[in-house]
Amino acid sequence: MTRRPSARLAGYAAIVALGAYAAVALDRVAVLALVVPFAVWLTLGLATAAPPEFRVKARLDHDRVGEGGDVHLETEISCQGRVAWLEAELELPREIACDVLGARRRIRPGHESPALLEWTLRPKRWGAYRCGRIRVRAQDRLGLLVYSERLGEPVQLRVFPAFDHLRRLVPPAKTQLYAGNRIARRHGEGIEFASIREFVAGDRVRRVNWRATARSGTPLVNDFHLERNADLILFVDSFVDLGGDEDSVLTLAVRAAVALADGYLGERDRVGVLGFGGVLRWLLPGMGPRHFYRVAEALLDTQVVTSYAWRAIDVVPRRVLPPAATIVALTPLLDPRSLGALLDLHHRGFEVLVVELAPGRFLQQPGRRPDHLALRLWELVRAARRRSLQRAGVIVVEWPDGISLETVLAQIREYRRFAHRSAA
Amino acid sequence: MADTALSSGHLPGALLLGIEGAGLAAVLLAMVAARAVWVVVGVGTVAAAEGTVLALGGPAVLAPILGMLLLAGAELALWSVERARPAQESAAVAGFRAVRLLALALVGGGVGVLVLAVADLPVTGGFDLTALGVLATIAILATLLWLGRDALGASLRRHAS
Repeated sequence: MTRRPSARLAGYAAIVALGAYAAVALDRVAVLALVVPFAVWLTLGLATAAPPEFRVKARLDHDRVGEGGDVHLETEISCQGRVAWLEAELELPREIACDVLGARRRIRPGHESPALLEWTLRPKRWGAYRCGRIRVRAQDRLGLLVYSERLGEPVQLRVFPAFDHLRRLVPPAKTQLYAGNRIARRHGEGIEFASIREFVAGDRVRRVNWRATARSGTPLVNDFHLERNADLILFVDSFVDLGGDEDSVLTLAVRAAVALADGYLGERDRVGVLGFGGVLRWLLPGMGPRHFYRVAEALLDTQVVTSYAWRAIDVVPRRVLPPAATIVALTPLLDPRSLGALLDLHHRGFEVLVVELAPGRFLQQPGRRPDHLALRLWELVRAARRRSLQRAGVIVVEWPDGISLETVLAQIREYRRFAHRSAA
Repeated sequence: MADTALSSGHLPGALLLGIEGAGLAAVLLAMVAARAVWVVVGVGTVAAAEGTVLALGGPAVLAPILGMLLLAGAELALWSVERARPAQESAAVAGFRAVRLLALALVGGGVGVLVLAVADLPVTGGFDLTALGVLATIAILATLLWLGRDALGASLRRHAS
């Protein structure tokens, strides 16, 4: 605990000392009477001052919450000692708003029972935060000494990104061996009709198409499409971030990644994560509702990290990139290393779908006019990167401001259909 | 007070009023800028001006009342400065402040009146009075040592280590 004298102590002491000196020097007791109230204040204040002892406990009602959701923090502050009042200031990251003015409360602590303070926190951005530490400031009864201390164990709050549920996704080009909701090109057991073929030994009688058999005179059976799942890898480019605390390229990328994970996991697909930036991070593909939380938690730590220990896509384990997986890349195309990695993955035979997060909207800063020449050069560099991906056969769709992710996915579907038609 | 002194022609009134005005301006500025040090400086300036008036023949009876008013003014200004930090304040804090200010101002004024009353006693010099003065000096020194016991103890421990 730190203790420091207040301005009141030094000021009143100076007034009393000067008054007393003047009274003695001028032989005027009235001057002394003028400063007596200050002297009384000082004497009583110093006589009753004693360092207090604080204890703080903090607990959250939920340790996981979605962006924009409310979470309640309850702090229990006990004070042993006599203080005029106590000011409790909650230390919060910038991304978390508090319903209390200035995240500070001034209270009169009771001697018997600890003071219970409730704070409603509203996270503005996804992430993993530590909150609950309290800076306690207190004055002795007459405000001559100020005591301050940082107390409380920080509690972890994980804020999941807010996302819109996607109604239509981009169907992956290739399916895997696990059962799922995707109609595979191969024929086998399923419910989606594929074609009619001749009966062969081993076919079940219930699959015989009696009408077609009667017409042709030879036994024919119905054939069905297999229903399989697909592997989807979310490639999140975290080399560069543009924008503010609440809205930035990375924030948008993570929200989109979580929305995609939610959509594809709902279709019984396997979803993995590849965070590609200064630090290379990955999450093995998995499926099921529980895996959604694994994906969301893996994405919470996404941030721009500067590292000189460069690790390319080669060091990613094989299991993270299963054969025939579809890779959805969320990138602003601002770093050439991401471009190289995406081309590498494309040349390995993966289907790569690039959602280009247009960073232009994050460049507008109030009071600053952009340098148009520099901006144009920057746009040209990005366009050249986009073209190099498109020339290699990678589908690149720009995600401009004001457009939903659903629309971007629709564009990818159209792009792919157009590409197939052109190839045919 | 300043008017009284002015009418008696003991001091340049404009200077006194100027000093008091400067002190009040410093207090107002401190409240706007939320700087507690300026409050104390402002109150000290006003107190110095009023002390000068009293020293030059102002009515001594008003001194305790003036002291109470100065203390109340200083405390209210400091209250304003402390409230400048945005915080949710419970009503109990305001109540405590008001009661504290009222009680301490009254006690301070009462002690001031007592000081004036004691000073008016028709006592002349002698051994008893000198002994009383010595005892009072010892008592004041003892009080100061007792008040500063924490700081003194810490200083001694530092030197010992």
